[in-house]
Amino acid sequence: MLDKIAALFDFRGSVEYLPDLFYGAVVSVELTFCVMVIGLVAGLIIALMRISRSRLLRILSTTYVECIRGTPCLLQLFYIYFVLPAFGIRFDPFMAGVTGLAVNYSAYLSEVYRAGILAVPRGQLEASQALGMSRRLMMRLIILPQAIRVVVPPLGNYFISLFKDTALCSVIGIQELLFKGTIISARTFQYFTIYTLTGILYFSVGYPAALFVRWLERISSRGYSRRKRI
Amino acid sequence: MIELADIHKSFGPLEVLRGVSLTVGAGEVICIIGPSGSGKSTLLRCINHLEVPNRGTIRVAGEAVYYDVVDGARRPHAKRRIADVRAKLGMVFQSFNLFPHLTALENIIEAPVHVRRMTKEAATAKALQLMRRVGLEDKADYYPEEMSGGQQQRTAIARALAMDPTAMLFDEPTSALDPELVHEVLEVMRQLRDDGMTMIIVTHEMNFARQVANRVLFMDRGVIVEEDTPANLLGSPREPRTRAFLKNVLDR
Repeated sequence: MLDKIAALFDFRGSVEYLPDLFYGAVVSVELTFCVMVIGLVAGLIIALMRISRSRLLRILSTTYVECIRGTPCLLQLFYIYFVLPAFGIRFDPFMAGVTGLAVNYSAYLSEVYRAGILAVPRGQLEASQALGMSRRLMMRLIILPQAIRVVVPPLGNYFISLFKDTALCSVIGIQELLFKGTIISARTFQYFTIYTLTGILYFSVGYPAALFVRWLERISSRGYSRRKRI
Repeated sequence: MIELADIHKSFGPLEVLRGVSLTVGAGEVICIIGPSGSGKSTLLRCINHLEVPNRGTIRVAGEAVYYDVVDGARRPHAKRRIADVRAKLGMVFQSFNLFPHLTALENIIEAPVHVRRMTKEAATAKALQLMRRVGLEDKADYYPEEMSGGQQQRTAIARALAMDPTAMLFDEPTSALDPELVHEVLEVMRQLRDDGMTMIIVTHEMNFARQVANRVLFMDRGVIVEEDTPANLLGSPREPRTRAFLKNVLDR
């Protein structure tokens, strides 16, 4: 019994699979960056639609956000990968994964932006208007620069949770980290070592990223002031 | 210069302004006093279109602004036209409302550069001159939160002046200040009066009103109760409501 457990902790047999796992991790990181870039832009556009003065834009964007938030991300991925082809819209797995996660994250990120925009005090709007700024100018020069500072830490946290959520894409056949881990462990029966290595790889990206976000939080909670000049 | 005719404004069931008419001549300094909730700030905000009156008309330099009333129906002006009028009426707020992410200088040049499309060099030169005028020539690259309340408010005045306003509107400009900082802001306003600026000032500073105003208005419950020269209104008010208010304020 004891020697069986000891044998579990023998990682020598699984080291040869590390490059393959590592390649999976690279795919996970690629997915994360693609989705984040699209999500950050789309999220901002949706947020601006939600606070727009046009009723139509508000209804469209609110419906989108509520539908996405009210259904599981996994279902959205299935929908894009398995349902849309019936309507002639076909994606390869990677594109389907990026689209699905971007759809999901843009809805959540738009809420972060919206909260940031609404957190800017009303007096800022009034001062801008009193100076004759148009709404567009006010958004660009006064509101968004202040909102961005508020939203950077929560956006960072979404970034990290996105990295972990890319694991969902393994179900539509993207060869990302979890997919690799599952394939290799099923083939070799070394579940313990392979999944542990998989976890270590996730952690070794996720944890430094979390530290980075904590640093961002500290920076953005500082006031606006002149940098110390030497 | 500025004419208000029969301004009414309600917030839901609450009638804040109940028919206010007022004419302010060029170069005139008007102080509006009154208890809180009397509608004096709302009146000022209507002049700058931060509030839209339910009824009544506003004219600036002889022209109807913000909207026309045609056969009893209101037709709003184009946004651009509204913005142009607002830019010409400098507004100073009780809580300063400086842009916290910009330095004092950037606060002042922001609108001239982006709204008036001045070059950055010209706007900066002008801003520095204005900062000298309000006594802040050494604070150009300070951020608002690095300055005292008095300095912030003087920056806000410079920011409004940078748009070459034809009139300045002050909404309790010294109410948020520590008592020892009040005079530095009032001093700047006094200078503006000496330079011939048209000003409408909502204030609780009775001494300042006495020294600077051409006319003082007492407002209560959405109407102008009494208006007169500062000496008359503050010295020997005719209306009992004015007398009661002044007694409370001056006895402090």
